[in-house]
Amino acid sequence: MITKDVIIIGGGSTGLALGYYLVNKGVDDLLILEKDYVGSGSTGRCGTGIRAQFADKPTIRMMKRAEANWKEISSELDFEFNRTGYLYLHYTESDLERYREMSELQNSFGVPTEILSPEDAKEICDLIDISEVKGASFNPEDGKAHPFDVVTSFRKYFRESEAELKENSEVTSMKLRRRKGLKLVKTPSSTYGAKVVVNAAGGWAPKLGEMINLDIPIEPYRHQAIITEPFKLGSIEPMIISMHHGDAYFTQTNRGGIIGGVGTPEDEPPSYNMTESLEFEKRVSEAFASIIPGLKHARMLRHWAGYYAMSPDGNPLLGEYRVPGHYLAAGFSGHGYMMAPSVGEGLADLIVNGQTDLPLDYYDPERVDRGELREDALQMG
Amino acid sequence: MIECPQEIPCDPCQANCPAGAIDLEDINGTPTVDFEKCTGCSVCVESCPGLAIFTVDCSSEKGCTVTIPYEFDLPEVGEEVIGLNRKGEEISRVTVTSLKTKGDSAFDTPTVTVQVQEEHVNELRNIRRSK
Amino acid sequence: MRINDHPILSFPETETITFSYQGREINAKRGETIAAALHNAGITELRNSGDRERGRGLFCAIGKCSSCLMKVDGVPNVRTCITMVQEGMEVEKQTGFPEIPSKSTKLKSEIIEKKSPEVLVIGGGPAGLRASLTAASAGASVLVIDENPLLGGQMIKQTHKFFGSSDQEAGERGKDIGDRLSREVSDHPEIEVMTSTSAVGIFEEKVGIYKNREKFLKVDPEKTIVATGATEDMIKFPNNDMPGVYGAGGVQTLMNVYGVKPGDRVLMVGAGNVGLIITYQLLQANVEVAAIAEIASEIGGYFVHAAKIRRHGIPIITDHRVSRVEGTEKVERAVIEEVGDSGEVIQGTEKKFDVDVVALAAGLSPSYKLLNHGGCELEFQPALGGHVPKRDKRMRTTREEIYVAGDASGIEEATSAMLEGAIAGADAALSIGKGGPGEEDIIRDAREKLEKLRAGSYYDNLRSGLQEVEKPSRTKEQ
Repeated sequence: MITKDVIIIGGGSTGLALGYYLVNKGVDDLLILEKDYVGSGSTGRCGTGIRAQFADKPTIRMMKRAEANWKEISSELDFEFNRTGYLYLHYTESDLERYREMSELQNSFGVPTEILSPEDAKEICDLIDISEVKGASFNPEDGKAHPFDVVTSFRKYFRESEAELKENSEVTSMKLRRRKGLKLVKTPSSTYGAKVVVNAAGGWAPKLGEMINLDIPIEPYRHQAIITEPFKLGSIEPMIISMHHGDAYFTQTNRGGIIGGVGTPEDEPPSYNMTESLEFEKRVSEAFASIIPGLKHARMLRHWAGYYAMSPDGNPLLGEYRVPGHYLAAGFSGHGYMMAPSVGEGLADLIVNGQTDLPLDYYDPERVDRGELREDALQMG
Repeated sequence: MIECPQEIPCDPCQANCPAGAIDLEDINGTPTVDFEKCTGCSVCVESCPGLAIFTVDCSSEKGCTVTIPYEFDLPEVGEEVIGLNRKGEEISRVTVTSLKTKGDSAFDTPTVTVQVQEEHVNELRNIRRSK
Repeated sequence: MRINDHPILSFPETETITFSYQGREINAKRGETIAAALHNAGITELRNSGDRERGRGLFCAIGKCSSCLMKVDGVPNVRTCITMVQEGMEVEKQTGFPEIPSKSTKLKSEIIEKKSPEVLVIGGGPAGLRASLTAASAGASVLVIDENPLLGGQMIKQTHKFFGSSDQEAGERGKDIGDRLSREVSDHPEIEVMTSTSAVGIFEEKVGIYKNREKFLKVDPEKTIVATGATEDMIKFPNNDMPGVYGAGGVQTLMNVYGVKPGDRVLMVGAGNVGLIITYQLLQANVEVAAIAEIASEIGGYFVHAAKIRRHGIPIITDHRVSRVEGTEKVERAVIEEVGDSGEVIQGTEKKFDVDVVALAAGLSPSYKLLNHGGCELEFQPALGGHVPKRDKRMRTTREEIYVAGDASGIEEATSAMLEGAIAGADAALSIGKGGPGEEDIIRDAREKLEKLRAGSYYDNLRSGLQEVEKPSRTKEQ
């Protein structure tokens, strides 16, 4: 058995960012296990967007910090984090009013969201058809980063650090040893032991829980996304959101493709199904072409599915869970990628120092056991 | 003369020979000619998809002729053309004695028959019009 | 640069129409593609690449690569090699990635329709046409689609006669077989034909198709036969993206389907059957061929095809690779050099050819992507040209409702593609309760013929590759 100080299971944005902050705080005897390749789960399938426009205080605070951290990490690890903003388009007066109130809350935490007229929205992206738009909210500090740039930058970082990142290493079993508080983690090639084990396996987190007879209240919901053929860079700078068009979201990647999706129908049950549906292509084309008519002529190059790892209240499960030294960093319900750098920082603080200035207690996973559910975080896609 | 040395799946020469003079073990065999039975009718020249069959006829007193499949701009009867060998090199000038157009040919392949000196009958396999 | 007198083909006069390129008026023949019309007008640089701003011309000419994308009537990224030119069309060159159109264009809005044929056949080449006819004759309703404006696949440009057994199509020109099958399919009351129609994906059992850039259709067939053919391979050398470097099949499409000469003087790369046959066809179209360069030590194609071009004095230079292509805006020269036994370049062996066309006949790869999307298990088999689906001897893939036939199942030739098509078509019909003993006979007979076709020593590699991917029965129930 090889012993480590900390083992992180899951090489997505959450596990990698946590590893990064642990190393920064001096935890070098660290192992990250990824069953496939970095970003092969939900990270590589995400919509690339990063926003602080949320409706609840803790998430606004977490995302404000996450955006600052994204900026720092991107310059240190040398990948693009483009602060091109999130532009929410509102098509009814009541939506506009709701988002106006939300923007005030966001402003109070230093998130500079503004309410724009339709004409101002068109200034930001002149391809938008504003004939039905009543107004928009825009936070210029929100942005996007290409997940493949991010995970490969992290991979390079871990190669050069003392910590170890092992890909193609699926955890096949876990055991808890009462004596010494060791947790044993087996892969097909080795057995590892550590006092601290973090389950950062996204939609697959419950499967790891089953190995140690822990019920982890997360369910995978299929969400699909598409990317079009590339267009001239700068065509669509911000992430454009319309709750009015089936929770549509899209932006342009730094490779030129338009990436995005629409929401999953509410009656679709949770499952590990990762196939794509033709129905989605119909809905996504109708939504995109209604918001930007020229997108009618954009061909989809690829279409894929990933999971929103949904917790009972749509907020992540962050922190120690039922067994000392057993941490959860999962159940992000669609926001894991964007939140990873502040989750990583906060959880690293908690593991190393036992405390953090970030509002992690709001996301205490045992809240579910206690029946203290939070308000749903603002979702889309 | 059948110049088809590879085992490729093909049999129209054998199937269409009116004299039954072409022997083929099976569809992947290499064809051989029984010259006792061959009448020189040149149906095989027209039917071979690989344009790999040529008729050499020295039975006439007037000398030898070679019939070749020719899917290019056709010369006229009586025209003097350049005779070429298997490498496309010039051998000698020869005269066209007869031809079959695509329409005349039973199998859609035009053929050209030229008068050839006896020493060149196993060499001449193509012609070129001298423009 | 039209071909006027051709010993085998005739290109009928059609109405002359006018379209614009970069604002300039250009004449075209009705029934030809935009790319063919531009080539005839001497315009071979069709766009500039996305990031390096290099000129790009036509390459595959059958809608499989993306070399010919242009802006047509305001719509970016149109495949001009498979889009018919229309009177008054506005064609523009794209430089870099295109802009998203800022306003709605002339195109009508999309209509979403549903179709439920019993058998959907994707691809109207030899395999797909034969599959359609066989399934329809057994009583199944069939929808056959093809991305190209014409049915017949690559057969419609094969001016040579096919080998094979005289009780099948042997001795018939590929073009004539293609025309005959296309006619039979178009005339068949149980078969619906949709050309200029692309399949965009196989989603569970539903297939999305897109017609004429206007209509999106959801097809819900009981069985799908994928007969998508193959893509020409690119090889690596400096300036391989320069206008004037074509797939050999692209050259063949231009000259034999549309009657447009690709250029004046050609270097053919590759002495397999494709390279040899197309060299011969270039000569028939009165285009000069400087040489054939072949990297292997031996000619890969049939002896008889090589003999046909040798007697025209065309040198076949083995053990040579293309080291580069030179030119300012388009190909002006090609340079080859000798390679040794272990692939090393032998210094001082450069040979230069002043040519304006370099045609690559460097191999084909099966067009497997729809099968992959449909969830069929694939395997990489070099002897079959690349990724191919696992299947049984009735051409059923690992997904029960999806069949494969023709080059998409492994690179061979049209005769075997037609036989595979017959098997797939007959079994698809049987599996939905159509047909009967007659269809079983068709399958047995086609299997026997396939075995005979592949029996010669020329096909040793092919046979061992096929053995790997042909499993006795389905490996997975869907």
